[in-house]
Parts: sequence; C-alpha cells; structure tokens
Amino acid sequence: MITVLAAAAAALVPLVTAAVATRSATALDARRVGTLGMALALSCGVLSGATSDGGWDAMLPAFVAAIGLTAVSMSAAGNATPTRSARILLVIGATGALVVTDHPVALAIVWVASILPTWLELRARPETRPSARAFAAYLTPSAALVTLGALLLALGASPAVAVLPLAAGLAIREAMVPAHSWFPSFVEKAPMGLVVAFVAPQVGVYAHLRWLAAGLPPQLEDVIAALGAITVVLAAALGAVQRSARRALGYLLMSQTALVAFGLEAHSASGRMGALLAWLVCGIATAGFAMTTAALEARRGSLSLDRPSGSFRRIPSLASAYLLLGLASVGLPGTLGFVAEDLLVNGTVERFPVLGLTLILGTGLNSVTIVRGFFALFTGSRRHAGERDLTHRERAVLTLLVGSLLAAGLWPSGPIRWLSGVRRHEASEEAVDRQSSRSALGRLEPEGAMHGAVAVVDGDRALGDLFDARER
Amino acid sequence: MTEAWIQVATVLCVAAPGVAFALIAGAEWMRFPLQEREVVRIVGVCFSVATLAVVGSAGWMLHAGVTEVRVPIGDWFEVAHHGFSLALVLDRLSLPFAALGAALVGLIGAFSQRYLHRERGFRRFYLLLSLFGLGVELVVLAGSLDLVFFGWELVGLTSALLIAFFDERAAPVRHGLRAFLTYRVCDLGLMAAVVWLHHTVSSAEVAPHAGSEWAGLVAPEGALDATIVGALLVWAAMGKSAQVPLGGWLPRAMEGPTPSSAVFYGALSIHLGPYLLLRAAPILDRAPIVAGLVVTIGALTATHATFVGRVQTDIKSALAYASMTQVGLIFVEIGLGFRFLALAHIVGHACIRTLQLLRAPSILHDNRHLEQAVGSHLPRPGGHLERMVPRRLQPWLYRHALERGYFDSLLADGILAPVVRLLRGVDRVERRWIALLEGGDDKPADEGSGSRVAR
Repeated sequence: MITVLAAAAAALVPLVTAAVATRSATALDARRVGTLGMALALSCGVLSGATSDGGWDAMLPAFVAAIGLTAVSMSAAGNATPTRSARILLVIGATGALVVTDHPVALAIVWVASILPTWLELRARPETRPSARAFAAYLTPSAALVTLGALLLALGASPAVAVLPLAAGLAIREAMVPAHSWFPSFVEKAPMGLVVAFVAPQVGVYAHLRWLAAGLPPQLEDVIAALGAITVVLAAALGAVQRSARRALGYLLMSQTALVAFGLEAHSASGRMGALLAWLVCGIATAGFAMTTAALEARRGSLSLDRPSGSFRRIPSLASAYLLLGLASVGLPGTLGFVAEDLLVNGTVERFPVLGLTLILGTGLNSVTIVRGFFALFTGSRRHAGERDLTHRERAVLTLLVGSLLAAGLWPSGPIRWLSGVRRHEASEEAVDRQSSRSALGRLEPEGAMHGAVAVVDGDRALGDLFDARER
Repeated sequence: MTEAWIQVATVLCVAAPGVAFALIAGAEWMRFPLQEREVVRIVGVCFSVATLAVVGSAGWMLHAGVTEVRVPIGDWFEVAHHGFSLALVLDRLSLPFAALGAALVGLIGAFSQRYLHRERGFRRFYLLLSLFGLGVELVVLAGSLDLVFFGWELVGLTSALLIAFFDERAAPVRHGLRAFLTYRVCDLGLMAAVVWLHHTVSSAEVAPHAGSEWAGLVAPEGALDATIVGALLVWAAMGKSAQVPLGGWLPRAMEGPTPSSAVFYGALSIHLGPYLLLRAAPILDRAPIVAGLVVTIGALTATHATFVGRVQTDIKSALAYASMTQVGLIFVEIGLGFRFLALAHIVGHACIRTLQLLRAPSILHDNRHLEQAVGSHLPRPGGHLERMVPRRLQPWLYRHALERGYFDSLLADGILAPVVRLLRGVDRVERRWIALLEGGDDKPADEGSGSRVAR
C-alpha cells in the first residue's frame, strides 16, 4: 500500500509543484519551489522503491524524479520565466504518471500530455518558435500512432496489428533513423531543462517494455535492432564531428537512446539486463551531463567546439563533473555504465554478432565526443571569462548523481538483483511454500533458475517474465 | 595461513593505489584541498604498501617454489551465464610488471614533489598518477581479459589527461585528444576480443596453459576464431604501444610533464601492449598468421623509429622514438616466441628509459659539464649507422625521417579528413531538412555555436 501511495505521490508532487511554480514572482522563486518539490518527489520515489519487492519497474518513480530534480534545480534562471519551470515540472509529472500506469489508453493520454507542455514552451519564445514547427511535424504523427496502437490494444485487437503503429510512434519519439532529424535540432535550440525532462527518462523504453515486449513479430524485432545499431553508430559519428557543443550533445543522446532500444531486442538475459541498466545509467548520467553543459552555457554563452575556451583552473569542479558524467554514460570503468556496456555487448552479440560489435564502435565514438568537448570547453587557452565554479545547489545535485553512479558501479550486484525482481520472486516463492505446506501438497519448484548472485525470475512483472513471454 | 596472507597482499597491490586515488579525489570534490606534502605522503604510503606487498609475495613464491598464485575475489556481477569474475593472478609474468608498476609510480611520486612544486595542477597530477597506478596494477594482475579491459581504459584516460596537463596551452590539449582518439580506436579491438572470446570459448579467463611459461588466455578451438581474436588483440596492443602506423601520438605525448612521460612512455603504459601479447601466447601459438603479423609490425616499427629518431631535435622526442624502437624489437621477440627474452627486455628497457627521461630536463647542464671536462664538443653518436646507408639514399631517407614516414599525414589527410568531410556533409543535409520544416531559410546562417539557443 505504501509502495503504491508513494509512487503516486512521486508523480503527483511535480504536478502540484508546477501549479505553485506558475504563481511564483520570479524564475528564481519558481526554481526554488521546483527544487523543493522534486526533492520531495524523489523521496517518495525512493520510499516507493525501498518498500517494494523489486522488479524492473520498482525504481522508475525515483529515476524520473532524480532526472526532474536535476532538470529543475540546475536550470538557468537568468532569462527564464516561472512558466518554463512549471512546464518542465509538468513534463516530469506526466512522465512520472506514465511509469506507474499500465493501461494502454491511460498511457496514451500521459504520453500526449508529456509532449504538449514541451511544444507550448517552444512556441512561447520567438527564437524557438520555428523549432516548435519541426517538433510538431514529427511528434504529432508519433502521438497519433501511439494513440492508435493503444486504442487497438484496449479494444482487444490482435497484438500483431497493434504493435505496428506503436513501434512506429515510439521510433519517432526515440529518434531512430530515419525519423530522427527533429532531435539534434530540438536539443540544440530548446531550453536545456526542458530537453532533459523530455528526453532523459526515455519513455519510449518504458512503452517498449510495457506494450511491445510480448507482441513484436521476430522480423520487426530484427528491423528495430538493425535501425537501433545504425542509429547508434551514425549518431555517434555525427556527434564526434560537431562544431557546436549543444548539437554534439543531441547526437550523443540520440546514440545512447538507440543503444538501449537495440539491447531490448536481445534474447539473452544478460543483454536485457544490460539494456535496462543502460537505460537507467543513460537517464541519470546524460541528465547530469546535459545540465552541466547548460550550467557552463549560462556562465559563458554559446559553446563552440571549434576553438579552445580554457578556464579549467577557474572551474575545476564543473569541468570534472562534465567529464565524469559524460564518460559514465558511455561506460567509464568504476561506474554503472561500465557494467551496463559489458552486459549489453556480451548479451547482444549472440543474436546479432555483427550488429553487437557495432555497439562498441558507437560507444567508442561517443567517448571521443565527450573528451573532445571537455578539451575544447575547458582547456587549451589562458583566457577566462571569470566564470564561477559549481554553486552549492549544483554541487549537491551532481554529488547525488555521481555518487549513485559510482556506488552502483562498484557494487552492481545490488541493482541487478533489484531489477531482476529477486525479492519479488522470493516473496512469491515463500507464499507458495507456505500454501503448499498448509495443504500438504508437497513443494513446488520455481520455474526461474538462480545463477549465483542473480536470478532470472518468473515474477509477476519481473524482467524474466516480460521477455520470456515474447520468447514463448 | 601463508597463502591467505599472499592473497591479502595481492589484493593490496590493487587496493592501495585505489585508496590513494579515492582520498585525493574525495578531498578535491569536497573542496578540501590537501597540502602538497599530504598528497605526496598519501601516494608514497599507498604505493610503498603495494610495492612491499608484491615484493613480499614474490619472495614467498620463490622460497616456496610456487610459480602461480590465483586469488579469486568473487563474482563482481553475474547475469544468467555471463559473469564478470574478479580474480587476480600472481605468476612469473605478472610479478615483474606489478613490482615495476608499484615501485616506479611511487618513485615518480617522490621525484615529482620537487619537480612540480607549486605547479597549479600539482594535486591533479598525483590524482591521475594514482589512477594510472591502479589501472596498471589491474591490467597486469587481472585474472581475466574483462578485468584487463577495465584497467586498460583507466590507463588510456589518464594518459590523455596527463598529456594535456598544461591545460592553458593549445598544443598539449590537441595532442592529448589525438592520443585519446588513437587509444579509443584501438581499444575497440580489445573490447571486441573480449566479446569474441566469450562468444567462442565462453570464457575470457587467464588460465594455466600446457607448455607455456605462465598462464594465458584460453585460445578458441578453431584456427579462424583464434586468428580473429589474435588480430584484435594485436590491434589493441598497437595503439597502446605506438606501433606503426599508429605511433604518431607518442612523440606528441611528450608535451606532458616529464615525470609522467617517463612512467607512461618510458616504462609502463608503452609496455602494456607487449604484456597483453605475452598473456595471449596460447592464441599466438594457435594462430601463426598473427604471430607473423606481430613480427612484421615490430620490425617495421623498429626500422621506422630508429630512422625518425635520428633527425629529432629535442631530447624527449628522440627518447620517444628510442622507446618505440625498443618496443618494436620486443614485438619481434614475442612474435618469434622468445618470451622470457621479451620479458627481460621489457624490464631492462623500462628502467633505463625512465632514468633517461627523468634526466632529460638536465641534459643541457650535464652536456656542458661533460664538454668542459673533455675540452671539446661531445662526439655525435650513431654515425656508424649513417655510414652504412648509401649516399644517394641518404637525402631521401632524411626527408622520409623528417616527415615521420608520412604516416601521420596519411592517417590525418588520407583517412580522417575525408570521413569528417562526409559526416559534416550528412549533417548539413540534416540541417537543411530541418530548416525547411521550420519554414525558414534552407541554408542555416551559422552551423557553429552561434545558432540561437534558449538557455
């Protein structure tokens, strides 16, 4: 009961906070209110996860709230308005609602609800109004296709029919080649807090797991995997040659998102676990990385990668956070990203030997993008514009992100057990045992198999079940 | 009981550098800057502990006549049939490397206390040095190729960051990026080899190998698979050890502080490629084509580097090419199967080159003293080799050496530049398409940083 209430609160608090933030006098006040609200939502999310029995979806409210906290608290207040903070909170609230809902129609409603505030914010400013058109040109068909698929599912149509529009809608939102052109432009021009709130939670992955996991025909799986691999490599290569830090970030996010989509099509437990971990790592690390970029941009103005900018000695913490979070998202040893990459590549290579190996190329190129960005933005020049290093607020949020990535990276068995739903499985096993001993019918063997520290389990919503359903 | 102590000592070899890194990094992040003396003390104590641990273990192994100690720490993580086992191996190959690594990093730490005194990046240098020490110890003591990759990545990253140590100048930063790019391109080979080994033999562990001097990677049964894995490992080793045609980053890497150049490119990092190949001995045995490839690459590198090194006008570049020459020869020895010779060559070369690099800054001073003592200019060494080259060839070879064998321009202008042009062309098409959708001019005015951005 506590679990459900806390998860619901994690989704509702940002919505309530959005209403309060709109009434704030200044953007600074709105950010303060939003930060407090998201800290409360994160606490609710953690409480929900801690009181649950695990499973791949148990920590999602906390995951979304952590991204929301990063997006809101690190947004620049200089030229922002309270409405922008409110819209970021609305997107996070809709995403939080999305990850605790499993009815197709409800999912479709919150799916659209997460797109709308983003589009409104783009339209609200003259400099981003043209981008709103491109955004709408892609995201409107995406929303329509997802709604159509959800309605078909709700009306009891064959999953084989319903998944086609769903998959197409998700592919557009996840910026898979060839439906990706809106994405780098969106990241380049939209307010960064909004970009993070809209992109980092990768709601397409959630929808994929909820709707597509059991119903995709094998041919479509192969197509998604191939498109995913192409997107990973193409976006990584394009990111590595960009002249603008923002656009490079856009391609980096696109490549990392596709990496997760590709891993979801693996038919091995390690590949799936790798994809899930990559989802969480990319969400947290890229949110921090993007907001660190935004923090630098707020201090310095437009960020070019063509000429070295210097200032490392003035802003060492900001520079270190940029490098650390960026590299964590692409598998820096010692962080959870390394574990995710190892599982993902090893798990996918059995089914897709060639495509699996291309992931290595993609992550390699992404790390070049990050290190190139670090060198160009923080070193190579004696000039400095008197920028300020991280504020207390920024440092606290980044410490939380970096700390969680490092802690989970050094002790990955814990998150893996949690995501596998071992506790949920053990709880159901105990219940079965109690029931069997009472009825003296003998002991039931669990269907899942334990492998050392981790189990592939057959719990209700547990990872094994989600994917095994597709295999059966 | 003794074996338990040996196991603890082996773990300490890895844990001590990790502690040094964690303490310095934690203090920096929490804005609690340590004094220079404190930083040096932390690094000194931790690497002394690591050195004592490995020397003590070596002493016990010699005394007890044990040639291999395996320390299984446990599974770091495991999902279904894929696991990442944490195991360390002390044997005749890893012991000299581990001892050399811990001792040299500790010595460089002590040396740099004065060399970098009041340098603004003092603590950053020690932070990266500790992380490098951790990476090296992980690579050499790793009981599986998975763990080798872990340490290998740390070594590559710290190398690039230390090349760019003097961060207010453009050249070191450019060279650091070049080194990182080369490392990453070659690391793809190592990662792919790990995956392919898991795929073919379901294990990337370092295991005892019949007829081999030390434990090695398990070779795939099929000759083709063995050749693929072997070629991938050679590719990885080529990048880390600056072999032809990828070695252009090495002389540029000398832009970093001299102590780090000494320990990275004179002693440890440059020899990790040969170390990897020595661990992969069973694979080289099964794939003679790969062994031939190793010999060819090594011979080409040694020939190229010895010529190019002779026309260098600064001491650190000359020493860089001298290192490259020796590592090329070590590659030849490994490819021909002279593995103990290669190991002895590595240890000897690492020690002498570190000393030379550390002495490099004071070489002018030394030479002046020597010339005063001799009473004339010092004789120029290496003339005998030049006399062996026909006169007609000499100008051509001189030009070839000045241009560093044209390898750099071939890679930069022949391969990288067209790829970058192509990708930027694709990006231009993307921009025009979006500009069209946005209803504006289909030729964006500024493709750089000046695009209108909402912060």
